[in-house]
Parts: sequence; structure tokens; C-alpha cells
Amino acid sequence: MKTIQLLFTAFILLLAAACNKSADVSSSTASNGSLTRFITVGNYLYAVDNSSLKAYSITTPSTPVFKSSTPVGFSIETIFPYQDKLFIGSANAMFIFSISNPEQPQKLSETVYFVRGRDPIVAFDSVAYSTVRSFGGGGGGVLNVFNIKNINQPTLITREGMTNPYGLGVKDSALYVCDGTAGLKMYNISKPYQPANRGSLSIPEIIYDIIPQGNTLVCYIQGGICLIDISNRFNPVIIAKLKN
Amino acid sequence: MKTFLIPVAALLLFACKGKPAEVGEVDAWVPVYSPKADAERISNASPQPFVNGGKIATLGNTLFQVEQDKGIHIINISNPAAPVKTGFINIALCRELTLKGNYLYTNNMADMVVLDISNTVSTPVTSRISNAFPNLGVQFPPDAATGTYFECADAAKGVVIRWELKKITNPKCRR
Repeated sequence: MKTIQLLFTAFILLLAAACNKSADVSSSTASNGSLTRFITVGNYLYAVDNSSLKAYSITTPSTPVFKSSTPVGFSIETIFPYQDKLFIGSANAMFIFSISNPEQPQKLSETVYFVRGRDPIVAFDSVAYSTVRSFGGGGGGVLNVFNIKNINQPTLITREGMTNPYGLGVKDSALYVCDGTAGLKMYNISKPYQPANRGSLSIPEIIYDIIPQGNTLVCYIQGGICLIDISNRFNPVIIAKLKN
Repeated sequence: MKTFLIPVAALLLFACKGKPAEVGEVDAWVPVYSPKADAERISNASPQPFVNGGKIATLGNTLFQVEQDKGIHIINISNPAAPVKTGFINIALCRELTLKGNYLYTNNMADMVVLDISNTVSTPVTSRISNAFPNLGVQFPPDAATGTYFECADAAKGVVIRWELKKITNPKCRR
């Protein structure tokens, strides 16, 4: 009997070179969690279904206009934008697309994981983080760290073992990984290719995803939401939960 | 030769429809239908409980959270120590969301819909794009260890909004 091993990918790309000054949101800024199938970038909306990337113009935001559909792969799960790139996570690979022509994304690279998974990604100038969660095969998962200086050929630098990771997010030099039942894990990424484990915070509900917003992490947890104060980046404190 | 091909073709047709042999009473997925017009109706409501929460997005101090397959919670987080639910948007088979300006983009079954959220008490639909997310419709039952048999969906009965596991006799479809 073939063991079905599916994983979940989340991406984060880290703006390592140019400090992430734009991260603080103003009152009207929109932010997505890292687990998402569609996002807006300027006047365009990008959506991934299981196998393709669709581009829509939202120059008139009330009325998207379809522009193109580009085949990507299979079991596509997540999409993450950074500058003129899109990072797309599938069950077994990370795809990077250029949107310098926003209406017709162009594939730059495809990096196949060693393990199958569904995986959100976060990426910045020179580094991309993705989590890959295995399920159906006894759990487990990893945090992958990629060097993306050569965008056409990302290289896996290192990986950290995880319990059952989902989404992830970055605030300044702190990388936060939602490790399911194992809570929120913190990493110091001052050296982006060598994340330093700075402990974890028990929720204790399963934590699925986060949106860093100022000094707060907005969290999607089992049974509701929670808000975590990160004024001290590596000493997060739960300040509210809303359940039921 | 022709007489040989006909039964082969018939067998192939049989296989394509995925029709199982008569198996008697078994666990099988049964579609739950809704009239298309009802499933496409998007409406505002008072705050609802979390049952099976999903993906999140924020617009300033407003948090939107998917309630899987049901709609979107609207939560005011201007005081992070005391988040307050302020409303709910009913959207059949909702799973995804993103935002730009005063517009919320989400899925209603396989369609993409755009809602004007400049006033979160009333969020009218400004646009609908059919079948933008083919995989978010539910024309086939969930993969499950049990219940690989299912009752074939019949478009004439409406759109499938969910599947229920039931005991039925000789289900016609199998995956």
C-alpha cells in the first residue's frame, strides 16, 4: 500500500538586504495570511487553482478583468507576492514567476522538494522560507530555507524539523512559524540563512496562520482567533482570544 | 470483428462512468443540493459563532476570517486586547479571501465574487466571475478512507453545496 504523504506549503520571502521598513501597516493597508490562493499586487489580482495561475486586472477594483491563465503544475496550494515576483507553493515544488509583465506572468524557476507537501512560502530579496507539512503519513514537517539570490536557481540552504507546520510570517528580524499543536515558534533571522531558534509559545489550540500587523500578530487558531503582542519580538504574549 | 468491438466499447463506457457492481447497502456520499439562485445569494447577518474557521485577511483594523463553506466573519481588532465580532457575510462554500482598498475578493462555490466593503454592515456584490476556482466547487465528494461510493450528482437538481455520508443501496458512482 502506497503511503500517501501530502504536505502543506507556506512561503515567506525575507527582505534581507533592504530592511523591511514597509511592514508596518497603515489603517487602510490590506494583508493576507500566508495560506492563500489569491492575492492582489498593485492593479492586478493573481489566483491559483489546482494547476494554473490566473491574472486579472483590477484597475477598476470592483470589476476584475481576466487577462491570462498560465499552467503551473499540480496540487497548487499557496501564492506569495514579493516585488515583481510570485512564489507559488505546490504539493512538491516551489515555483517562482516574474510579473514584470503583470498581465502575463513568466516562470523563472521550479524547485522540487525532497518531500511531497503543501507549502506556504515567504520570501524576500535573497531568502525564502517555506514550511512543508506532512499529513496522512504520521505528521511531521520542515521549515525550508532557500537562497534565492539567483532567482532562476534557488538552492536549499538548510531545513529545520517541525511538528506540523502551517503558515508563517516575518516581523523585522523575527520569523514566526505556526507549528500546529506545537505552538508558535520564533526564530531570529538576523542571519537569514541561519535561523536561530528562540523558543516557542504554547497557544495551546492548534495555530494555523498569522498576519504580523504592527506590534501584533493576528492569528488563526483552532476554534477562533487570537492576538499576540510582539512588542518584544522574541517574547510574544497572548493578549486576547476570541472563540465561539 | 464488429461484433467483438461492440461489447468492448460497452465495457469502456461502463468503466468511464465509474459504475460499481451492485454492492447492496454501503456507506456512500450523497449530494446535498441547493437551487443555484439560493447558493449564489450573498447576504449580511449578525455575528455568528466560529464552527470551522478558515483563512484570514486584514484591512487596517478589520479582520476578515473565512467560516469554511459558510461565509466570512467581520471582526474589529482596533483594540487588540478586546477583539469584537461585528458581523457576518453568508457565502456558500467560501474558502478564500483577499482584499484591495474597499473591495473583498472571495469565492462563492467555484465563482470569484467581489464585495464592496466600504460599509461592512451591507456588502453588495459588485462582480461575479464564473468558475474562476474550478477546484472550489464540490461536484465530487471529499476523499475519505470510507465512502468511496457516491450518488452521482445531477445538475438538474441544483448545485451541490455539500456531501453527507449515508447508507444507501447500490450507489451508482465510485471514485
